[in-house]
This record gives sequence, C-alpha cells and structure tokens, in this order.
Amino acid sequence: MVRLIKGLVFTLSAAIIFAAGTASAQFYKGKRLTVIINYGAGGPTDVEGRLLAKHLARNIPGNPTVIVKNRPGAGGIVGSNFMAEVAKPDGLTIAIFTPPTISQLLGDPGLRADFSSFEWLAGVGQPQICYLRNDAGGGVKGPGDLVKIKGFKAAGMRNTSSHDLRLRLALDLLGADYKYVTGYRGLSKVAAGVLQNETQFSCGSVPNYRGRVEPTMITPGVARSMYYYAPVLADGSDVKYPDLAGIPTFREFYAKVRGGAPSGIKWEALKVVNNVSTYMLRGSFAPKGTPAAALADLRAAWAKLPNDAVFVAQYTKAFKAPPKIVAASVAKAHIDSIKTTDPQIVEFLKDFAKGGKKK
Amino acid sequence: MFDALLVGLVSVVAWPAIGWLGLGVMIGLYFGAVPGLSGLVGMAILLPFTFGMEPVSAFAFLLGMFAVTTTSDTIASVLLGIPGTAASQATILDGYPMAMRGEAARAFGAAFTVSAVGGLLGAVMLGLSIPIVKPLILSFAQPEFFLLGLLGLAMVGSLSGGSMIKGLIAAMFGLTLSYVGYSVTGGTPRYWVGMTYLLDGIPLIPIVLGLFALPEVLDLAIRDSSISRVPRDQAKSSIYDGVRDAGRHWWLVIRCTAIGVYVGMLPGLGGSIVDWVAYGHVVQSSRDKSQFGKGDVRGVIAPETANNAMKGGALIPTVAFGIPGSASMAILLGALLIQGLQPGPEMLTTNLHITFSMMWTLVIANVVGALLLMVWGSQIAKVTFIKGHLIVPVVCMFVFMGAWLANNSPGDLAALLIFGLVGYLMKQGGIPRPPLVLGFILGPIMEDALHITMSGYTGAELAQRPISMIILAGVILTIAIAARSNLRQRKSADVKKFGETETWDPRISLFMLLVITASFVYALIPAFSWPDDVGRIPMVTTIPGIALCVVAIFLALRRKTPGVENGAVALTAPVLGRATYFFVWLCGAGAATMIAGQLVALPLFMGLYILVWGGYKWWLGAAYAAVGLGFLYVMFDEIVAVIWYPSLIFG
Repeated sequence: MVRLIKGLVFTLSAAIIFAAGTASAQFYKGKRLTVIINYGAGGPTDVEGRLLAKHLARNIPGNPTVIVKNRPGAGGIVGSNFMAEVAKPDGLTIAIFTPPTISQLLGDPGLRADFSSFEWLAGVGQPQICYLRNDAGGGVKGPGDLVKIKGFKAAGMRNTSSHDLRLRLALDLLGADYKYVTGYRGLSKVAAGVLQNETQFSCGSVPNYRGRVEPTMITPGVARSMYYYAPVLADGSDVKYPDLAGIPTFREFYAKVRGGAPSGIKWEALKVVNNVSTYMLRGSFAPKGTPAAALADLRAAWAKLPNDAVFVAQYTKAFKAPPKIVAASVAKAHIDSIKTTDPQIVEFLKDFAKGGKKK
Repeated sequence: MFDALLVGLVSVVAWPAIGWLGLGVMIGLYFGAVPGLSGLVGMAILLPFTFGMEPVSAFAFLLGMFAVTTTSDTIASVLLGIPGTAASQATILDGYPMAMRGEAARAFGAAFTVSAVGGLLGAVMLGLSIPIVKPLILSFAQPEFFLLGLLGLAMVGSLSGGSMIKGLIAAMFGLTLSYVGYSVTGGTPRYWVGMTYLLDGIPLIPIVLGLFALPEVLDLAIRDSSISRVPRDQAKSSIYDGVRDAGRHWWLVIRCTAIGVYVGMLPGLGGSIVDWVAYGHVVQSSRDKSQFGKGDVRGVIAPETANNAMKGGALIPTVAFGIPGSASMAILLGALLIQGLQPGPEMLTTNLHITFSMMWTLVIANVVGALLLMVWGSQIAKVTFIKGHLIVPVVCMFVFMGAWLANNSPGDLAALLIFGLVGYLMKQGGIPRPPLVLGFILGPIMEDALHITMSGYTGAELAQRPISMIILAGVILTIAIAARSNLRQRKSADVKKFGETETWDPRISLFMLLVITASFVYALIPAFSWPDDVGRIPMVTTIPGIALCVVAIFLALRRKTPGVENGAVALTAPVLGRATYFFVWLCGAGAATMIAGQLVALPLFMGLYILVWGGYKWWLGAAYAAVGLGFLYVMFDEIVAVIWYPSLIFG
C-alpha cells in the first residue's frame, strides 16, 4: 500500500512537473522577449547586459527571440521609472539594469520606482578595486604609503554615487590626506584622469580595472593596486573573491596599515553602500504582476548561467573575471535591505554626500 | 612598423574579413543617411553579432559600418538641411543652399570625394604621428579641454556673420540649455520643473532637428516648390564638378584633415565639434567670405573632410590608452575587450598590426563608401527637383522618428516641436542658430572641465601648463580677428552676412531677444540658492547673457524703420498664417502619436498631408501612407528595434 501511495505520489509529481514544464515551455515558444537596459548604448551596463541577454535567451525553455532596448537617463532612474510605470507585466519585458540603489537609499526626488516591488530574477556582482599612482606624493614604495603621503588627489564621478561614497568613506577611515576631485563622467574618464596624472587615486569595477587600468597603468608600473571592497557577511567576515587573490580586501588593508578593525558610523555606512552595490552591480527583474510561469522560466534560466560553459567562457574573456551571479532570493534580500537600513546611517550618508566637495 | 602595416592590410583584405567589411559599409551607409540614426546606434546593434567572430573580422564589421556614417550623413544635410548625424551639422550651412541652387550633385561630389580623401589622408597622418601620440594625448587634460571649449565658443564670431552680439547671445542660450538636468557633481537637478525627462538634460538630436529641419520643412510646405529653386533643366551641376572642386581646394582638404585627426584625437571633445572647428577655420582663413552660408562649396569641403579624418584620430586614444573619446569608441573598446584584447601601449608596439588593420578598415571603408555614393549620388540629387508637397511627409516621418530615438519619450517630441518653433523664429529674426548648437554641445564639456580644474588644480599648477597658455593665446587671437573682421564688415557699405537668411524681421528679432532674456533671468534666479559648484556656471553664463541681450534690445529699438532690414521683406500675415497652420499639423501628428502610437499616427499624417496640403488624389495618399507604414515597420521596428510609444488606444 505504502509502495502504491509512493508510486502514485511519484507519478503525480512527475506529471505535474512535466505539465508545468510543458506549460512553461509553451510560454516563451515563438515569443519575443524584450530586455530593457537603463544606460545608453556602449556603456559598461549595455555591453554586459547584451552579453547576458544573449545567453539568457539560450537557456529559456522555448528559446524566445531576444531584443535589447536602451532606456537611458538620469543615472538609471528613467529606465527604473519605465519598468515601474510603463512596462507591461506580461512576461515579455524584463530589465537588466545597473539598479540605482543608492538613489533609492538617499531618496532621489526623480526616482518613482520602488525596487522592492519588482519581481527579482537575479543579480550580478563585481567588487571595486582601488589603485594609486606610484609617483603620488613624491613616490609610493608600498601600500602603506597611502596613509603617509600628503595631498594626493582622489578621483570620483558624482558625490552621491556609490563609487564616490565608498572612495571617501574608505579613505576617511584610513585617515588618508587627500583632495577629493569629482565630476568625471564614467570610470574610463576617471582612469584617464589618473593616467594623465591629473589625479592619483581612484577605484574601478573588475572589468574596468582588468580591461583598462591594469594594461595601461599597473603592468607598465605607473600605478599599483591598493585594496578591494569585499562585501561583509552578517557574521562580520569578508566575502573574498578567488580571482582577486593577491589584492587585499579593505579590511585586510586597514589591519595592515592602521592595525585593528575599522569601526564607527563611517564603517557601518561603507558596509551598507558596498554590500548592495557589489552584489547588485547589475540586477535583473520583471515588472510586478508578471505571470508565475514566465518568472519560473526566467529564474531557472538565470540559475543555469553560472554552469553554462559557453557563457562563462565569453563573459570571462570579455570582463576578465568570472560572472558572480546571485540567485533571485538573494538579490531580493539585498534590495529589501535598502528599506531596512538604519535611518541614522541613511541620514549620515545624506549629509556625507552633501559635504563631498573637498576635504 | 612597415611589417605591421603590411600584415594589417593583408588581414583586412583576406576572406572573411573583407566580406564583413563590405556588409558593415552597406549598413553604415543606411545608418548615416537616416537622421537620428548614427554610427553609435549602428555600433550598439552590431556589437552582439561580433561576440563569436575573430578580432580582425569583428573590427572590419564594426569599423566598416562606423567609418561611412559620416559620408552618407551628407545626403540629409545637403538635400533637406537636416544633419544626418551630429558630425554633419556644419555641412548644412552651405550644403543646403547649394541644393536650393540646384547644385546638390556638385555638393555630393565634393563631399564624397573629400570624405574618402580625408579618411585616407587621416590614416596616413595618424600613422606618421604615432611617435608623438602619447605625449600629445597625455598632455591634454581638463584645463586644456576647458580652454579648447572656450576656443570653440570664440569661433562663434566666425559662425554668426554680421551680428557678433546675436551670435554670442545664441551661444550663451545654448550653454544655458545644456545646464538642464543633474549638475556634474550630482545631487542637485537644475531647471527640471518636476519632469523626470529633464533630469538627464535635453537630448541633442531633438534640438538640432527642431532648430534646423522643421523650419526648412515648414518652408517647403508653405512654398510647395521643390528643394531646388532652379528648375531641373536649368541645373547644370554634376558630381564631377564637385570632384573638381575638391581637387581645386586640395590645400584646404589637407588642413581640414589635420584638424580632423588632431581634434579627433582629443578624447571627449573631438567628434562633437570637429565639423564646427573645420567650418570656423575655413571661414576665418578665406579672403572672400561673402558666399559662406549661401552655398560656398568650401563650406561643404571643410567639415566633410574633417569628420571622416577624425575617426582615425579617435581610434588612437581608445586602443592605446583605453580612453574612449565618444560613446561609439566606448563600444569599440567593449568589442576590444570581448575579443580578449587589452587596450594599452602594446597596441602601438606588439599588437601594432591589429591597430593598423583597424586603420586599413577605415581607409578601405571610406573609399568604398564614397565610390558607392558617387555612383548613386546623381540619382539621389534628383530628389531636390521633386515637388515640395511630396517630400514634406517623408521628411516629417524621419524627423519625428529621429527625435524619438533620442530617449523614446514623449518629451523628445515636445522638445522637437518647441525647438522647431524656436528655430523658425530665430531664422526669421536673424539670430544665428549654429552658435546655439555649438554652445549646447560645449556646455557639459566645459562645465566638467572647469569644475575638475577648479577643484583639482592650484593657480601655480595651472601656470605650469604650456599647452594651456598656447590655447589661451589662440582664444584671444581668435576673438581679436573675429572682432576686427566684424568691425570691417560693419563699416563696409556692402554688409555681407552668412550663416543665416538675409531676410529677417526686426520685430521677430526683438521678440526672440526678449524671450531669450527672460530665459536667462529664469535660469539665473535659482542659481543664487544653489551650492557654488552647481550655480557657478549658470551665473557666469546668464549674467553676461543678460547684459548682451540688453545691448541687442537697445540697438533693435533704436532702429528707425522697423520691419525693414537691408531691403528685407518683413514676414507677411499670410505667410505667418500658413506657418501657424502647418505647425498645428505637426502638433496634431504629435498628439496623434500619444493617442494611437507612431505606427498609426505617422502614416495617417503622411496620407492626410498628401490629400489636404498636396491636393492629390486619395489613392496616392493611401499608397504614400502604406509605403510609410511599411518603411517604419521594417526599418525602425525590425532593424533598429525601437521602443514605440505605448498609445492610449492600442496600449
């Protein structure tokens, strides 16, 4: 009897899974999936988004045709509002964004989308690596010189960007004597400024660092890496990336040059900004109300990507680092953490961003 | 180096690279010819196709497409007075008047010849310059960019013909418009009036199409004559006349090639202003300036040479230093990385053959693209003899779609119509439009550069930058030359203007001056309450802008005979009535788009225009609309994958 029940349960489960699979396969069969990107054509988000979209489509049952459309503007805000207000929840439109999470954290007046309300599919993370010119402040011989040299210039993009907030918070925690110069439009312009010795210090994502900073500055001996911002887990430990072996995390760097562990409101703020910005450098989601069958297929396709050898090879070749994909539930948790951030830290960050002109 | 040159050539002409190059050229010709599309859109669309290719084929495909967009963009600039891409804006100033004179074929001949020669010579010049490339690129940092921007503005004197004050006011107006949206340091959005669309600033394309295209379309609709005012049987020009013009002005071609290469090499500045710099140069360096703006072939040769030569120059900072000078070059850099290549000094040493293969691609594409267009040029030029009412609807379709492609937002259409009105009134009021565009382009470049210079440099550091000092001297010299020639023109009984129509109405001029003054005041007031780094630049622009406006208004009011200027005829009431009626039609097309989407609204507009304005038979209107719909679907939906407006009716 037990065997019969087990057999029935098994058969029924198999039938349900098969039926779900069939129904799901039918969802995208012969359909066109539109992928919206919230930055302009040719930027880092666009290039990475198009590569992800191409390989995502291969892994969706029914193999829909995919077209990519750019919806740029206002630091990613225009595309976010589009997904919240215009995009139809029919399973045929999804986003691969650089989500403006810090804009939501700081309460940007133009942002009308609530990121927690979207149906999250996945996140793609990449940490940022910081570098310093070897001739800064009269000469740099070792990493510890970052806190000894006087008056070097640290380059940023916009005082409310996660790049600039992290850069200043980390340098302040280290007690470095620096001058903050912001206003460069994009990481490649930041790197150009350091190459021209207009500024001496900055940070870039792994693709930016590996693709532009390393060949033009690190390999020729113009600059050296300092540290990377590793996400910090709830137990207080760093999430270390094997492909960045040889570069210390910020906390390791701090312990080496300052001794002990960083603490205080600046450290807490750095952790908040860095965790969400690193894990969710890119995020993929669908509008609220998207059919469950479509979501299941999309999430399953995202889940297959880390094991898709063709994708991993192309991604690694293009961005000089393996893809760091986080599952839908993890992505959603990071996005939700924006809303639960300690109000004291939010207020501190708002004030800190405003004061970000010069040290 | 010679080996690398040869290896680069062999790899490009080998199969399959040469096949990809040919395909890229054909696609590029289309993307350049359609206003609103551009090399940038083409690059973004083609990039995913290169993921699986080997490097030389991938770059042959991408660069083959990219190289010729600035050759075929001449078609719309000359025929319709609409810039095909941002790099051919200056070509309009003389190219369109040539078409109106029945000399479109000659303009094409000159433009296509110099595009090929500029591309070819540019690559040669670049090859010879490789040893000095590194110090050159590394010594141009933000202080130099700010001063180069200032130099560009100083050229306003050359672009504004008889009225330098009006030219400067237009440039200041353009600068002020460029401040809309988030300030460079972020945090504070400026002049966004609660509209998210404006947070990122007004996009360039709707402004340019509005300022230049709509007034010309309006003119065609009102007059219903062909673009050429000269009948077809009396028009004598041919493609070969243009080729001969290019040969006769060989020294200008070489000079403008050098401008293209070296201005193009300056990352972040080159592509956007190179045509203006070349145009400013030809006007300033010519003894006889009387025909500029009226169809002087030198005004076509200069920008068209420079905008093709520029592409080789723009390649170098991208591949050798990982500094992309434009969005298109950023995509190329992405392609470089996807191919597993790294930008860096090796691209000028061990990987020099790949760099040379890219240059060869540019050379071959430029020559092939120009030859193809030469063959088709005579046929294309015949468009200028077609009746105006048959051209207006299709041009309107391109203009509406071109503007829409900027952000896929109703705001694009609103910006197009608003700047269409502004452009028409500026044209009728004798206020030059080119300086407005130049100011608008230079605004963000200069603000970024000034901000970084002020926060990153001390006075002593700035004083130690010799290139800055040289550019500063160039700025002063340019202003002095422009002022002197302006005074001479004023003293001369025979006042020669260029860059704008000779006939303009002082009443409209006065009205526009008052509108611009009000805009400056509106922009100035909130600037006082902003942080220094946000409000500084708007103040520095609007305060002198207001002062110049006051002087210009004072001069306008002193005129004893309002309504007549240099024998010009004032705008008559019937003309104004027709213009208003056509503008209502355009607004109707915009409103219909909101209700039914472009795929219904634009064919409907085209069909109705043919019926009502053109007075043609119903079947012609229906056929016109059907062809328009087919074109919209195939070219914009299937190829460009445009996001259509989610209409109220069809969702």
